[in-house]
Amino acid sequence: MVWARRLRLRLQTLFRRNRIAQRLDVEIQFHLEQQIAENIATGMSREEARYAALRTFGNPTILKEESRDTWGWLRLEQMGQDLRYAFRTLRKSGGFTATAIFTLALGIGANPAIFQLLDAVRLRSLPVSTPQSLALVQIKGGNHGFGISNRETSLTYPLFEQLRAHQELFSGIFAWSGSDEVAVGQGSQQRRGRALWLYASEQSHG
Amino acid sequence: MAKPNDLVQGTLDLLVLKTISLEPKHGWAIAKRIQQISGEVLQVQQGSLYPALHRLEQKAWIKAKWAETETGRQAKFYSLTAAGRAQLEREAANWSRLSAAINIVVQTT
Repeated sequence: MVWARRLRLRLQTLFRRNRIAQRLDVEIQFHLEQQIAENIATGMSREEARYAALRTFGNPTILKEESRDTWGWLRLEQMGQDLRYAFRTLRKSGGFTATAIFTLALGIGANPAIFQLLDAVRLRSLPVSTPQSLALVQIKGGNHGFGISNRETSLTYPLFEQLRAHQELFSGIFAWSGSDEVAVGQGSQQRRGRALWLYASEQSHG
Repeated sequence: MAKPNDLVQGTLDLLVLKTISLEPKHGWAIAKRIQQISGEVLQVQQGSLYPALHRLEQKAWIKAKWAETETGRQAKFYSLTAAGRAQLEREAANWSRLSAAINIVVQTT
């Protein structure tokens, strides 16, 4: 089960990296001490023995580095280093960091707010049972000659009544019109406002 | 005297696998053994063993175990895995083929 062993080792080098690094230090320390002891046995002084051991060994720091590189996760380690470096740098320049975070927060906050507005106004379906079957009735080519206005959806009431009586396309039809300002309520509770007149046949959902 | 850089790439792996094929050894003992057996011809820069050992361990060709030495110190002992033994056979066969071929080329005039 070579792959299982490899997987286990990879996980160890990921999650127990510091411990394995410590053990590498111990391992190399042991090696150097063995070599120093051997050198002393051949008649060198302690100092000489230490230098000679280091000469035959090479640069421990570089070799430790090379050993660590064989453990994999190099990219992840470097990314971690970069992140830590970034955090340190950001902490040092508080004003810049605060401005950057504030700008980001504003940008991130504004996006959902604008979307929520658009969603409610434009994207969400109307609160009726089958919104896809709703339609706006208008006079094609404009409303010239019917005496109300040029708005294509403007109809006179008699025209609406004819439509309501004779249309067979829809289950129901309704029209609306705005009012002048009207008074609602009594006495001190009275408020003035604009109203919307609705004209509907009994079957319409609106 | 050959420095590790002069060793053909991958040869160090073969030397390490061969050296620990009989009994588990720690890094220093492996370095000593290679030096001794080769009649001091192969002077492996001792430190360069460790990246090689760790690479071989990650490949699961060798396994490591912490144990006491004769002098009662804790050391990391390396030994071959089954996969490592198969790898040793492959690499040894490769090496024989390669060195035989180079011998023929060198000795033919």
